[in-house]
Amino acid sequence: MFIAGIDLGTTASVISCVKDGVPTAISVGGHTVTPSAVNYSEERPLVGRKALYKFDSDRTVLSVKRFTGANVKFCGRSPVEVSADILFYLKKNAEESLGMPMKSAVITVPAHFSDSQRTAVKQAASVAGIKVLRLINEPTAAAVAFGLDKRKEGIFGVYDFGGGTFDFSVLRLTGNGIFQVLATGGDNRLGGDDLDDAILEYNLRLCGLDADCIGENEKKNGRMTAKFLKEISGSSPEVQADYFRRGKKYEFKLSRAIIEELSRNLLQRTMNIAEQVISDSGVEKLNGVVAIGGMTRLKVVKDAMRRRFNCRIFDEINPEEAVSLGAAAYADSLIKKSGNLLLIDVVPLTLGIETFGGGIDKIIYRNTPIPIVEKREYTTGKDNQTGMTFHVVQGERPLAEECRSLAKFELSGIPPMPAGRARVVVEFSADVNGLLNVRAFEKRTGVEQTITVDPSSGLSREEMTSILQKASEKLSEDSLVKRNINLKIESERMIGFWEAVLDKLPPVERKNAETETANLKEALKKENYEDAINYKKNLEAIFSPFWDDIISSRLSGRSIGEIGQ
Amino acid sequence: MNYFELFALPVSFRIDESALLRSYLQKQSSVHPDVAGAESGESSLLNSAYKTLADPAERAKHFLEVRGKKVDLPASEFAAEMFDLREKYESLVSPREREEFRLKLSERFSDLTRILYDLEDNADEFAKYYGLLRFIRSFLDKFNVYCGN
Repeated sequence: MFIAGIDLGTTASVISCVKDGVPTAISVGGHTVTPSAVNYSEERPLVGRKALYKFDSDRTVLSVKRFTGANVKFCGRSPVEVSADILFYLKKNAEESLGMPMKSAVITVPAHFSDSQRTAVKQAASVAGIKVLRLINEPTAAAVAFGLDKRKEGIFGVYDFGGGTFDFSVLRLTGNGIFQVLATGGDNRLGGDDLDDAILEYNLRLCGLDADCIGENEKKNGRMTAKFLKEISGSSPEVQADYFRRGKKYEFKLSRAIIEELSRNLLQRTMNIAEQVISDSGVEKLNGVVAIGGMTRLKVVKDAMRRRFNCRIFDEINPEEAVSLGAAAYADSLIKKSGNLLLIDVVPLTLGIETFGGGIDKIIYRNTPIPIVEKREYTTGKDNQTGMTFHVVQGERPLAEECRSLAKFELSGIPPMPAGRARVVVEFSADVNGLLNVRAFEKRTGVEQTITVDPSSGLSREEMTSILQKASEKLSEDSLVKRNINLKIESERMIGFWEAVLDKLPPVERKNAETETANLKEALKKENYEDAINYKKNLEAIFSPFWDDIISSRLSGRSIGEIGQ
Repeated sequence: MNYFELFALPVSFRIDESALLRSYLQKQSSVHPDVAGAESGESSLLNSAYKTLADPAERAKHFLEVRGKKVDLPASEFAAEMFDLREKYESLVSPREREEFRLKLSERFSDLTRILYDLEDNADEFAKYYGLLRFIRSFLDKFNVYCGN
């Protein structure tokens, strides 16, 4: 039996284990790095190089990680199923390679992955028949590989620029095996794939081809050519490659000046995030920055890091294997309970509850160490109110609708009493995997409601797949009806609020708001939902410059009893 | 719950940060669920306590609670300063103005932290200045606009 550390990456995945005390990447089909590609042209899915070598872009899924937790389908499969196929392939081949079964695994996720994305990764593992020991954050895992190897002590940044995601973390390494994350942040729509797209667009323009007239398939092939150019770009001042389209040959090229130009904006975004995280961490100086993720192999990225970070850049660890090796080391330590290693990680994105008026009552702030339990007390806003609805959201934006919605639940059965008498406690607990549990109860009567935002299950692969399929079919069927109901409920709630605060607006806005409110009411009455959406949007736009003040004046007493009514 | 006692530290706003960190990590390495098993109650209590004491504004609040002092709104003698700040904040236009204002706020925050160090023995005065510190912090938070996703 062995315990694995798995890095399920956007472009490439790696599985490792500890052999004779040393974390080692396991060879899967002759290579330690497996492309995260799945081809569905045959009865069984083809994974990795075999999928790429099919050159069958129609039925090959690439970069599925970018869609983790999203409600989309590729070749008729959800991202969970595609990820499960990759995980299953890694497990099966590692078992063959080592000649023994895999017991369980630590799987890594981008540090800023939300609760629902983490849950999706756990589901994929369970569909693949893998028992998940822990989910850990990629930059933290890389820091373990780096720190263990060098016995480092001090405050380090981890700059993790992968194919599809960017993470930056600041950690304190104590030298005796404790890795304390001080702050983390990232963007899951920022990665090497974006540079490939930019290189492709640039070359299509150069060849006189209109990007809009190029089919998805031709684009995929073009992207592969662009990726190839990117990877060899360090080898000479200008590189070329052939691109074939409809039997015609085109020459793609990429010079140093152009790659610098095309990557400038992406690099700027990574540096903005890094600066934010460093400022969040409260440290004044870093002892070094560890470079990981495929993008940090590029000269243009390394140069930018050297220019921006006023400290040593550690790029000698293998940027593609480091995450998986760190995960394997931690898996080993967890199983042995040796206490040799301890990761203290943080909540990557603020968790809160939507308030009356669409704002957010922040309950667990980002960069709070986990595990953590936080409580808030609310009360009813109306006499004899027997139920309260809670909307759990995650994100840093000021309005709930701009954040990721995690769950909606209702606490019902509150005995009738005058407004403000009920004492409803909402308890958020984030576990060591960064997964959230929510509990709400009324203090006087003990009426309780528990929401496990992480639905863990021990189902078989078939059961899980069919459950997931049914769920997603049902979702698309219901979604229009649901949308209209939500629109109606939400609009009615908002109209009440808007009318109550009309006097906070300047005269012109106030007049407009009155007109639009009347329009919205009319549209809802006539069940003209498409118009209602527009009127509601207009109203939101009218109020949005004044939100901050209105919300803060409303929330000052913290009696947010009418949440979601 | 007295967090100072939890980490075997004297009840004082003037905290020894490295002693706090040492005590926190030492305790965490014996109760963290990854070392001790599934139970995470003690570990999350340590995290709450550490987070509270490591942050000056939260630490000041906890210090007052431990001393049994109720925290009120900022005292009226600061009304003029608060009014000025609010007015200034609303008139900010350019990014440079915003950055200058933010720097001024964070300097004031540090000043107030130092003032609180010397007011430990005078709970009433301490509470008054804490109210202002809290007000400044809420402004500082407005500048913390997240740039990731």
